[in-house]
Formats: sequence, structure tokens, C-alpha cells
Amino acid sequence: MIRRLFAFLLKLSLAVFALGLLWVAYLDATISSTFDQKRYALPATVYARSLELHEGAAVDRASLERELKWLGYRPVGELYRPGQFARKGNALQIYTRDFKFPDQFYEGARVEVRWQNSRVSAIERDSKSADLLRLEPMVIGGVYPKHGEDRILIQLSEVPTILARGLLAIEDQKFMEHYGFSITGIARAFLSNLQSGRVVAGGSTITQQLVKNYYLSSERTISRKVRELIMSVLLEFHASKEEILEGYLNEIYLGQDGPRAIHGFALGALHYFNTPLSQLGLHQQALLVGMVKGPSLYNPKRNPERATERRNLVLDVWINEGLISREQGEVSKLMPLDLEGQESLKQRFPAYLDLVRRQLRLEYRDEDLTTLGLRIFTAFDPQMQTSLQAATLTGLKAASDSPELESASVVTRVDSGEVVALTGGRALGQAGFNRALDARRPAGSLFKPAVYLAALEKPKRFNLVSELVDLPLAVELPNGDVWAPENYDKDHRGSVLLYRALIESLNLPAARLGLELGPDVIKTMLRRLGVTASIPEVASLSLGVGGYAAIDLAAMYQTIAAGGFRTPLRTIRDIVDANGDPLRRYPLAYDRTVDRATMHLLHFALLGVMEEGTGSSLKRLLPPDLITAGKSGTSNDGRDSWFAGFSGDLLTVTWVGYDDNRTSNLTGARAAGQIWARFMAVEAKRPVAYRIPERIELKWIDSTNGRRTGRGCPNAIRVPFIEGSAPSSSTDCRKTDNPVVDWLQKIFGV
Amino acid sequence: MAHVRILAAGLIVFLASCAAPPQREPQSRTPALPKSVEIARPVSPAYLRLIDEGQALLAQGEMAKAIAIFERAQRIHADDARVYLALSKAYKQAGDNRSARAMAERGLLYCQNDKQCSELRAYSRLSSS
Repeated sequence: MIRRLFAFLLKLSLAVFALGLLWVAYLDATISSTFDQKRYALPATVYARSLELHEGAAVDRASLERELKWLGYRPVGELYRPGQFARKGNALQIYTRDFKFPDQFYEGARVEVRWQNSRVSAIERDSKSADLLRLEPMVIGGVYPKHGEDRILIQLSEVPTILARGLLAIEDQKFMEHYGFSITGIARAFLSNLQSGRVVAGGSTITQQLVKNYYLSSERTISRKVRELIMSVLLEFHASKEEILEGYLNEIYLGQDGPRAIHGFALGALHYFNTPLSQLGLHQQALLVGMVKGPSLYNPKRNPERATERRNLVLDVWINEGLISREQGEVSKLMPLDLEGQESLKQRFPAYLDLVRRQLRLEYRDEDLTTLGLRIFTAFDPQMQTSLQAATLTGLKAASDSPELESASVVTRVDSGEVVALTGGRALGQAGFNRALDARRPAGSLFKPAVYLAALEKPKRFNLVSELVDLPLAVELPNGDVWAPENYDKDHRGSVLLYRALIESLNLPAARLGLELGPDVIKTMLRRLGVTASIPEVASLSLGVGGYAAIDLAAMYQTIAAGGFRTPLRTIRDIVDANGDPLRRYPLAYDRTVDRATMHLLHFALLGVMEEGTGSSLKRLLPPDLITAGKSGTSNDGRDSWFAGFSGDLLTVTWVGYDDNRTSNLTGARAAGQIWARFMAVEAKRPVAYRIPERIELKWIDSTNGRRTGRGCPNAIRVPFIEGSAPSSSTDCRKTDNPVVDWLQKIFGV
Repeated sequence: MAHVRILAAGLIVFLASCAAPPQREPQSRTPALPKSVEIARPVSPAYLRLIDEGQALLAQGEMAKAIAIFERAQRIHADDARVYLALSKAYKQAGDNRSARAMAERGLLYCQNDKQCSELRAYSRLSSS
């Protein structure tokens, strides 16, 4: 009987042992198959454009200083390490940082920039004249997995020695000696848990903490603890001490930034100090190491006193362990927390990042974006974004007292189609409904240029001074309703010259012209101009019926501003992999979809809008020498206020309205135009300027009747025509502005 | 009388070119015309250096790198025709005539002399490959 029992127990023990072996083998397989991958699961990082300074660049010193502060550069008296700048009279000295751009590795150096009349006049790099300064681009966000983990991966060799050794001194003094767990540590923890009657201490080594973070939940049970112990020993077999420490330095949780979890010391350094890890002072390193024990408890932003106490305790340990001298330690203890300043801009552009993510998701799987450590270089311009945000707030205030009035703007570079700034609502720093991309509203008069462009493409029938009918109109629709548009002023003029109808944004001539040409022709023109949204082919299309977001209209006006060249609106310039090797470029691309000469005729009218039409009231907000072209738009009952306009370098489209679609009674110029003009006044640097296209001839026209006239004659204006399309009828006036010539003309009747 | 008229017409043309300085434009409701770009403007040395670097890369057959560097130059002076000509040549060399033509057409908006304009015009007439 005893023998049988013994045999049974032996079998049972063997079975348990075999099962245990299988379990250990399973845990071992888990570690060996995932440890390497785990270490490299990195979210994509999104960068702004890099600021490139060159001789003549219109970047003043204040703007450069602002950019440097955003990048975490510190103002000092004399430069002594990268990441600093110093004012020297009219010059700025900068100790730049290394950065690997998609096309080159740019080594940090001591640089001096000088100015003349708010323009860069000279650049010196290491005391030698240089033609270009390239600053590293700002990180503006990332693409994080659902659990929100973010980190910047570093190698052990990039970690300051004191920080690495100091971390071991605080968290795991026997790290280099143990095999994954420490008996003394466990005994100490067991004793304190016994004394308090609950689980208060873990006694975990760094290896155990890493295993727990990588593979296990945070529940405090015996079985979890056993698994942690076994896996820690296994990990010690599979990986070297350096690999484990490196994994820990990259893995450790150091706090929360909204939905984003800050992991690893490299990201922690940027998050708390806006400074690369390699450039942290001792006091900052000590704070980060101290925070490992309780990132929330010792959060220096929320609990500065507790964080300072903890930091000083860490410094005391470092002094006692001989890692730093007493003098170094005491000096560090007197230092302030030195957290990042108010100037930091990170994570405050959710609307722009939203557009970047949407463009990325067209080509990349979410899994790739959240694990491959891609680096996304965009055209985002933080200076312009800041100006746009300021203009949005002041412009909305100028338009109305209502705090519910909303706005969205898109800014592009005319010559490249790059989106450089974007706002999706008046709550600028908050993610949420992105009106620039998702608020679909009628385009109102913003579609009229497409109607006139379609007409001007037929130079035998239409030119800028063709007479259009401005009389009431009633069209019976297929459903039996009657469409009877009116002019904004409810008046009608009988007839009006084509360019004036556009300048004054008259509805009746545009509606009639749209009907004459046909909604299909207008729709085709809108497609050629780059509108990809759904377009209803109906009679009222010429007055902007349908639903379009600011980004749709920015695509349309981008083609107009660029002179008939359709350019895909881009946010991304380059994507590189985690090693910095190029993966994909998004090159400059043009597709000419409208003839340059025809587009020039439209520009004439859009310039007129700003000179004397619906946009003329905005001129007082713009610099006098900045020639701009634009178009206002207002949908029915003033529910939507639009303004789209461009200088030689920038295009901005702005929408203002209420989310619930109620009437605002604000015209395009009185609401959206207020934001548009305030932004363009600060950021637009080049007037609308280009060589007048071939096949264009300029003629003097009497603006009251559209007939040819002489220079200096009453109401004479100079109007461009496609060759051979100018009117043949003329006034009697032959004045030329030259008295001698006038006298001779009179005598000889020439 | 016909001779007199021809003579008078010639005289008018002559006087028009050299007589009294032109008076101020009449104050009518006149939209502005785009400003002319035909006056040569100074360009940054960095712009010219980047174009040179791009051309050197082009000579080595490094089309993609050359195009990337020309685009950097374009961001410095987007209203200078030289960079569009350079881009046009790069795309032609890469066998992408459609892009070469588009770049040249775009450059025609900014060309400042006959030589530049006619060179761009030639590229703008490339047939699609």
C-alpha cells in the first residue's frame, strides 16, 4: 500500500516537474522571441520644418530667439555646450546641436548670426563665414499606439555615466552581481510587508522591474511574483547586463502627458527639461532617477517640493557612494528644478497633427506607425502657426463677442502646396472636432472664380469686360421648387462688366453665367482646380452649394494662387526609418490644369477684390506694399463666412461660423477676412509678382462701358486680354497723357 | 497729305518716347496688375550653392538626391527661375518629361531675361514620355 502511494507520489511529482519544465520552457520562449522586438517598438515621431537661415532671410532676431527657446536652447552669457545661445550686441551666438536630417548629418557648431534691417546679413560657423545655418527641427508629436506609450530609444553609450551608475545606486546596488533577483532584497521586502501587514515593498531588482514592465501585469500576487522571478533569471541568461540596463533605461515609466505615457530617460529629459539626455545637469539627472520610485508622487510639475526633496535624497546617496564629489552634490542641491519653460510648444498642434496622421494612414498601417520608430519630417512652421493662432483669436474678437463663434484656417506655400499651418477651431491647443478638415459647409461665393475661369477659357465669347446680365432670375428645379438668387444688396444693375461682377461678388451675373456654361462645366473646372469633395451638379453650384471643408477650398485656391498649377496639398516632406535611413520622399509636383494666361485674367479680378471690391476694407490691416489677391464668401443668411486669398508666397483660406449652423450675419470680410488679414500682415513676405504670361496683351478700357479708350481718358483702366480677344468698339477719346502728342493728334487726326 | 500723316505718326511715336515725364496714372477704379519680376534681384549665396551642389549630383547621376537639394533651394527663393530650370533638367534626365515640362512652365512665371525664358520655353515643350 505504502509502495503504491510512494509510486503515485513519485509519478505526481514527475508530472508536476514536467509541467513546471514545460512552463519554464514557455516563459523562456516568450523572452527569447520577444525581448529584442520589445525593445524596438517605437511610435513614429513627427517633426516641424527645420529653420534654415541664410543671408537675406527675413527672420529677425526675436523670431530666431523664440525658435531656439522652443527647441530648448538656454540663454547664457558665454557658450560652453550645445543647446545654448548668447546675445552679443546685434548678433546672436548659438551652440547648435548635431542632427541627422534625411539628406545629411549636420554637426553642431558655434555659430554667430548678424542682422541688418531685420534681415540676416551674415552667418559665421566656427569663426568662418557660412552661407547657411540649419537648426534641428522641433518635435511636434507622434503617432502612439492605443496604450499611449511613447519613448525615444537610446543606447547605453549615449546615457551619461553618472546617471546610469546613479540609477543602480538607488534602484539596485547589486545589479552587476546578482542573477536576476536578490535574496537580501526579497528578505528586506518580506520583513517590511510582514511588519505592516500588507504588501508595501517589492524588493525588485532592475531585471525584475524590466520583466514586470515587459511581460506581466502590475497585480501583486504570489503567482505573479514567482513568474517574475523565473523570467528574471531566464532574462539574465539570455541578455547581457548592458542589454538589460539599456532596456530598463528605455522602458521605465516616468509620467503622463495627457493620453501619452512618457517612457524612458531620453523622452523624460525632453518632456521635463526640453533638453537632450546627454546635456542634462547633475541636478536634472538626479531628479529623473528619483522619479522612478513614483512618477506621479514626485512629479516636479505638480509636486515641486516633494520632487526637490526626493532629488536631494538621491544626490546624498550619490555623494555617499562616491559617484560625485560633496561639492558637486551640494551645488546641485541648491539648483532650482530647472523644468522646461513656458516657451515649449510640444503637443499643442492637434489639428495639424491630425492632418499628418490622415496622410500617413493612406500609406502606412497603424501598427507600422506605432512600432517602427519612423521619423516624419513635415512642412509645419511653428512660427506661422503661432501667428495664425494669434490672428484667429484677435480676428474672432474683432468680428463678434460671441464665444461660440468658431473658425478654421489652412495656410499653404503658394510655390509648393505645402501646408504650413492649420487651425481646427478656436480652442487652439485641444484635440477635438477638426473643422479645417471635417466641417463641411457651402462654399458661397468662393466658387465664383471657377465660373468666371470657365468663361474666360472661351476668349472668343468672354473677356474681362464682357457685359453680363444683372437682372432677377428664377429657375424651376426638377423637384418643382424655384431657385431665385439675389444679389447681397438686393439690387440689380441691368448689366455689368464681367470683372466688376466678380470684384463686387454679384450673385445674379454669376448664377446666369453658370447656367449658360452649364453646371457640368463648372464642376469640371472645380475638379481641375483640385476640389476632390463631392460636388452636386445643380444650377446653384455657381453660388457654392454643397459641403466643403477649408482644406478642400485651400486645394482649389492653391491651384489659382499658383497660376493654374494643381499641386497636391502636402504636410510630409520625408519619412526615414529608426536608423535615419530615407524611406520615402514626397517631392514637389505640379500639374498644369488651367492655362497660365487665362489664370492671369482671373488674378486681375482677384487683385481687384482687394483693391476696391469686397476685400478692400482689409487693406488697412495689410502692409501698403503687399499686393494680395482674394475672394470673400458668405453662404445663405450669413451662416458661413469665408475668405480665401494669397500673396506671392502664402495662401490662406479661413472659415468662420457656428457649429450649429445658426446665422452669424457676418460677411466674408467682416469675420473670416479679419483673421486672414491679420495673419497675412505678419507672415506674408512677397507680393503677388510674376512675369506676365505670353499671349497676354494689355489694353486701355473705359471702365464704365468696356470699350477701348486711350491712356489718360476718363475712366481709363488697363486690362489684360488673351491676344486678339480685346473688344473692337472704342470711345472717341484718344488721350495719351502726353500734351505734345495730344496736340499733334488733334491737328492731324491720327 | 498721306506723307504728312506718316511723318506725324512717326513724330508722335518719337515724342511719346522722350517727351515730358509721364504724369500720374489717372485716378480710376483700376485693379492692380501683378508686380513685374523682371528686375534682377539679389539672391542668397546659399541658394546658388545648393543649385551648384544639385548640379554636381546630377552629373554623377544621383537624380533623387539632386532633386531633393533643388527643392531645398526652391524653399529659399521660390520666385527665381534658375531652380525650376534645374529641376526641369533633373526630371528630364530621370526620364520624367511630364514633370520636367511642368517645372519649366512654372519657371516661366519667374524668368528674368530672354536666355532664361527661352531655355525654359524649350523644356516646357517637351513631349510626354
